[in-house]
Amino acid sequence: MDTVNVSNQYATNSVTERAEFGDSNTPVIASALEHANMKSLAVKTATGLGVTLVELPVTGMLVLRARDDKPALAAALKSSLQLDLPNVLASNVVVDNGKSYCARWIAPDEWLLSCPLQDAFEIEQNIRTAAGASSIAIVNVSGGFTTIMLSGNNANDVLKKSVTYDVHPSHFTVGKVVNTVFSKAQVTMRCLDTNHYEFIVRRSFADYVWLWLQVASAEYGISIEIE
Amino acid sequence: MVNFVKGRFVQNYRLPSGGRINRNKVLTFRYNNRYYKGYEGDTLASALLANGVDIVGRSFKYSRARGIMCAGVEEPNAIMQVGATEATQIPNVRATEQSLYDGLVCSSVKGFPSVRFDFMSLVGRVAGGAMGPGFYYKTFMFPAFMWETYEKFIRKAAGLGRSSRERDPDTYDHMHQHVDVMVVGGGASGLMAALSAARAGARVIIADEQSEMGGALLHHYKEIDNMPALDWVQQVCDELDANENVQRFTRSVVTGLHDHNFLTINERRTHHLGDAAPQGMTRERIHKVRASSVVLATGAHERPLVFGNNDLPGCMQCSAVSQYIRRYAVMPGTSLVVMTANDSGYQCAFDWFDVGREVVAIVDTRANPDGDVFVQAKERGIEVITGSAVIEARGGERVRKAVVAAINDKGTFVTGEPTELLCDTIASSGGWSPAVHLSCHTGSRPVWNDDIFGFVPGETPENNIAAGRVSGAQTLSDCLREGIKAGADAAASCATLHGQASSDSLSTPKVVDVKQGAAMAMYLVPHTKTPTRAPKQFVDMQNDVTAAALQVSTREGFESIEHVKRYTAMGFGTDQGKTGNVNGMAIVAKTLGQTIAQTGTTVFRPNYTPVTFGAVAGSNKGALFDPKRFTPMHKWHVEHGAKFENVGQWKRAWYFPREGERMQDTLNRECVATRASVGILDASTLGKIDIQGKDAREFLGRVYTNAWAKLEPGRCRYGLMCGEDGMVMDDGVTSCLAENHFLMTTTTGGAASVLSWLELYHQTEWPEMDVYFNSVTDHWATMTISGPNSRALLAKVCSDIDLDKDAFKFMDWRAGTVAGAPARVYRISFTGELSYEINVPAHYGLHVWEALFEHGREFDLTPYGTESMHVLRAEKGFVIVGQDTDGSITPIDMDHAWAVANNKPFSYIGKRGMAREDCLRPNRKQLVGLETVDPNTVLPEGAQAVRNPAQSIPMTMVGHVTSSYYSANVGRSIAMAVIRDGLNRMGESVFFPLADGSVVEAKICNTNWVDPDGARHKS
Repeated sequence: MDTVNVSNQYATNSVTERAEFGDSNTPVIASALEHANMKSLAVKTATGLGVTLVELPVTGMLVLRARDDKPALAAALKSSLQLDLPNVLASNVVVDNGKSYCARWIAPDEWLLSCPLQDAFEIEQNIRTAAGASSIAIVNVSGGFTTIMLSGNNANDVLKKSVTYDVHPSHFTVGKVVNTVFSKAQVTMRCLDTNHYEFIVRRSFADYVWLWLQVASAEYGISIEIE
Repeated sequence: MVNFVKGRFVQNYRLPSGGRINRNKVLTFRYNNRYYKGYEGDTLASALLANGVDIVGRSFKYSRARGIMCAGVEEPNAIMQVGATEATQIPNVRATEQSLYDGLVCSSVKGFPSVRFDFMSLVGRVAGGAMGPGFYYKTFMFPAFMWETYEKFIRKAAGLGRSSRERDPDTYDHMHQHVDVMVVGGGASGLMAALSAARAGARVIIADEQSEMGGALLHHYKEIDNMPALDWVQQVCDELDANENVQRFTRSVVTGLHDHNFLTINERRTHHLGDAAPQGMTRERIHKVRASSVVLATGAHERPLVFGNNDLPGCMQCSAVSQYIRRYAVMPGTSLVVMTANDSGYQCAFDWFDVGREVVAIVDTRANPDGDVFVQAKERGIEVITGSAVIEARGGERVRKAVVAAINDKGTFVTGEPTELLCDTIASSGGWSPAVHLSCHTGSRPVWNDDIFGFVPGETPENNIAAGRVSGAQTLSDCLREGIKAGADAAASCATLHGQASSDSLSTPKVVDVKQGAAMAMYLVPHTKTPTRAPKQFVDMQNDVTAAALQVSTREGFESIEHVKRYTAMGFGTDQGKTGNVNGMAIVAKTLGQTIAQTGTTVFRPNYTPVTFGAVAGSNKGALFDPKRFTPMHKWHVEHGAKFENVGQWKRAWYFPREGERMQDTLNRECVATRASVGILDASTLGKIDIQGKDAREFLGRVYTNAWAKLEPGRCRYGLMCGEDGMVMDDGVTSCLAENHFLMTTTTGGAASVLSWLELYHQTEWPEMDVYFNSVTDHWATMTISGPNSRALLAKVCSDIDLDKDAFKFMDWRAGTVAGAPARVYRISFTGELSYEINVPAHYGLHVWEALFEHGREFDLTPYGTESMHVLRAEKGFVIVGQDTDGSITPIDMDHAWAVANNKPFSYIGKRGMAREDCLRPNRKQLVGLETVDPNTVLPEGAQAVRNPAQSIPMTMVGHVTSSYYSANVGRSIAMAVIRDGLNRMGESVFFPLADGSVVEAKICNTNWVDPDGARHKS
C-alpha cells in the first residue's frame, strides 16, 4: 500500500505569498454573503434591537471521519490541538493564542472542526501525521460553508420559527450541537449562550437562510453587525 | 323599541351598565354599507345585536332570513365577508368570534343580492317543497357538462364568501413549540390543569380561542374562592404568566390534534387590531406544538332544540343569551320565552330578568323539574310551564310568538292544545355536546354517555386526558377538580419535565354548587303535525337540513350516518355542524329504531375551525417558498446580464445575451466563440463527492460500470453509474487524487441522490469496506475554460503547473495555484475542445473568475451558460443523463459499451440488470444522431418518431427526440434521439408528425458532428 494515504487538499500551503501575477493574483476572499454587503447593512441598522445577526469571515472547516479508529483520531486531535473529540451532540472549544478551535459532533463517525482559515491545511497535516496509518478521513470543506451568528433577546423566538428542534434553554443547552432542518435548508447549529447561537450553513444555501432570518426577525428589530 | 342609551349613535339594545366592554372607546364599523357603533370589547355579533340588527344572512337552500344564534365558535348563521379593501378581504368570518375594531367593514356572505330582498327566497318559497335532501345532486348533476355552469350559480347563491383578487398585504408565520403538557381550552378546567401541571414542574402551553381566558366563567357569574369568578381567573392567569415555563395564548384555536401529540394552534394575532396587520406583525401564526401529554379541556357546545321555524331570527341558544347580556351588556330582544330540557337553560331567564326585562315564561319539557333553579325561578316570579314545549315559532322575519303545547313525558308527541305566547326571543337548550373534536382527530371514536345525553371522548392512542365539560362534568366544582387532576396526571406521565416544580400544592377552589335536577333526552320537539307536514324544523342551519329531510333520506336508503351526512349536507359548511350534528344523529337513530350510540357520529377531521391559506403558507412564499442555491460567481452573472434557469434548486446562468440579441443569436455567438477562441462556463453546481479510504478504489469499481483498478493518481476517468436494473442513473468524471483518495463528480441534479446511493450501499451491503464519502459540492467553485486558446489563457494566471500538452495530458489533473488561489485543474472536456476545469475553494471563486476575465480580454473570453453548454456537448454527441436518458436506457443502448467492464473480479451494480433477456433483445431504442432533411428545421424535443408517416392513427412509434438544437458551428440543426434499432439503421429516414399537422423527415446519423477524431481536445 502506498504510504501516502490520501492527497492533500491543497498542493500549496500558503496562498498569500504568491503575487507574481499582479493584482488579480492576490486572492480576494469572498464569503457566501458577500453580495449582501454587510458593511453597508451594519451602518444602516441600529444596535441593540431584539435580534443581532453577524456573518463571520470565512473560517477553516475540516470534516473528521473515523469509525473503528476513533480512538486514534481522538488522540491525534488531542495531541495536535489539545482538543477532545466531542461526544454525541456536543462540542469542545479550545482557544490558544487568540485562535479558536471548535470540534462539533455531527454523526457517530463524523465531526466538524473549525479553525482559522489559514491554518486549516497545517492542522489537517498534523492530525494525519499523528493518526498514522489508522483508518480516518479528513476533508477540507472551508469553502463550503459560512457561519452566521444569531443573538439578542429574541434570538430564541427566531430559532423557534426556523427549526423544528426543541430549542428551549433546558434542552438546547450551552455547547450543544444539532444538525437539523432550518426551514427548508440544513444547518449545524450550536448554542453558545442563552440567546446566542451559531449556524453553519452550506454556502449555496446561505442566501436563503439569511433571507429567512431577516423575515423571521423583522418583528423584533434587526441589528446587523460585522466582525 | 326602547332607547337604552341616549346619544347620536344609538345602540338601542345596549344595557346602561355592565359587561366586559370599554364604553369609553367607541368604535365605528360598517355592515352591509351602513355605519354602526359599538364598544371596545364587543364582538361583531354583539355590536350588531346592540344595534338591533336581526337578520345577518339568508339560508343556503331556502333563502330564509337568519339571525345570530350563538355567541361563539359554533355559530352557523352570522358568517361575514370582512375587509375594507379588495386586498384585505377575508371570507366566512364568524361574527361571534370577530372582535370589533374601529373601521371594520363587513357584509353578509349569505343573501344574494341582499339580505333584505332576496330573489332566491322566491325560488325557495315556490320550490321549497321540491327541494328535498339531495336536491342539488338530483337536479344539477345532469347533464354532466353543465355542472360548471351550475356550480358558479350555486356557489354565488349559496353565499360562500369570496377571497381577494389582490395580493394579501399581510404576512403570516409558523412557530415550533415543544412542551411537556399542552392544555387545550382556557375555561375553569383548563386553567386548573395548566396551573397544576406548571406547579408540578411541566413546561406548559394553554391556548383558548376566545379573546380572554375564563371560558364560561366570562358570562357565568359565580364566586370561586370567595371572590368574583373573573377575579379568580385573573389570579390564575397572573400566576401562569409569572411562570417562565408557561405560555398562554388567547385568540388561538387549537385546530388539530395529530399523531404523536402534535397539535396545531391558529393564533389570530391582529384580527382584533384592524383590517390589516400593524407594521412588523404577522397577522396569523400557526404554532406547531409537540407535546408529551395533552389535556383536552375543550368544554361543550349547547344544543338548541329542534322545533318548527326554529331558524327565525330571535331563536337562540340559552347560553348565548346569557353571554350577550352578561359579557357584552346587550339585550338580544325585549321579551323572552325559554324552552329547556335541563337546568342550565334557566340561567338565561335569570340573567334576562335580573336586568329588568320581561321573561314571558320558562317552558320546561320535563314534567317535574326538581333542581334548585326551579325554586329560584319561582322566587323571581317567573312563570315556569312544565311538561311542555315550544313546538313552533311564529313571525315573519323575527320571532313574534311561541306556540307552546303540553307533551308526553318522553317528549315524543303533543298531548295538549297549543297556545301562543307573545315574545320576540326564544332561547332553547336541549343539553350540551362535549367538544370531542380534537380527541376524534386521533382516530378515536367518541362514546355516548347516557347520563349527560352527549358523546364524550373515547380512548385516544396517546392517552389524552379530557377534563371538565368535555368529559361530562356537570358542575363547576367537578370541572375545577378534574382540571387539577388532569394537569397533575399529565405532568406525571411525562418522561421528563422541563420546568421548575413548586412546593405549593394546589387545592380545589371553593365553589357553592346548586342542586341539579335530572335532564331529559330531548332533540326534536314534537309538533301536532309530522315533520314533513309541520313548519320546517331545522337541524343544520348553515346547510338548511331539516328533521324531515333526515327522515326522508333514511327512507331513501341512506342508513349510515356518513351517507346521511353526504346526502343531506348535514354537518358540512364552515361550522361543521357544531350545534346540529347530535340532534341530527338522534333523529336518524329514532327513525331507524336505533340508539344514538348505534348510529354513531360522522368522522371529525382537522381543522376544528377553518384556517386561512395565508396561515398555512406562513413565511414560505416568494423567495422563501423554496431555497434558491447560488454559485460563488452568481453576482458576476447577474451584473453581466445573464438569464438564469433552474436546475434543481440551483440558479444556473442560462445564457448571456448582449444588447439586441435574440436567444438564438446569443447561443450562436457563444458557441462559435468557444470553438474559435475560448469560452468559460460556471460548473460549480456539479455534484462533487470526496471519497477516501483504502477500499475507495474497490468501491468505485462496484458502483460504476467501468474499471477503476488501474487509474493512477493524477488521472481522471469518465464513469457510468447504473441502478440495479441496469439502467443509466448518473455519470461523471472521477479523479484519482491519491492511491486511496478520489473525487467523484455527479450531475448537478444527481448530487444528493448519488451520495445517498453510495451511503446506502456502504451501510447496508458492504459495511466492511473502509471508505468515507463527503460532499464537497459547495466547497469548490468550478469554472471550465474551453477552446483552442484555453491553454494560453490558463498560462497567464498559473505558473506552477507545467501546461505542456505532453506533461499535462487530456484526462490528467494537477494541483497548483491559479490567480493566487490554491487550485486543482482537471484537463477534461465536455465540449470536445481543449479544456481545463479549474477548481478553487468557493471563497476564491469570484476572484479567480474575474482574474480570468481580466487576462482573457485579448482572447475575447466569452462566458456561456447552460444552453450553449448543451449545444456544444451535443455537437460532440456527449449525453446528459436525465435528458438523453430516462431510466429505460442501458449503457449499451446509448452506445457506451466501452464504459462497461464485465471482467471485474467483483460484480458491479447493474451488471445483472443489463444481462436480463429484455436488455439483450434486438430492436431496443438506441441513442443516435438525427439530421433533418431541411437543415434549418429544429425538431421539437420529445417529438415522436415513426417509420411510415402515411400509416393511419394509431401510428407505430419507434422513438423520440431527446435533444435538439440549431448548431452554428455545424451550420445546421442537430438532434439526438432514441430510435428502435437505430444503431443499425444509419442513413435511414424517420419521420416526425407534429402537432400542427406537418411532418419532419430526418436521417439517422452518427452523433459526432465536430472533430470526430478528437484531435482538438487532445491538442
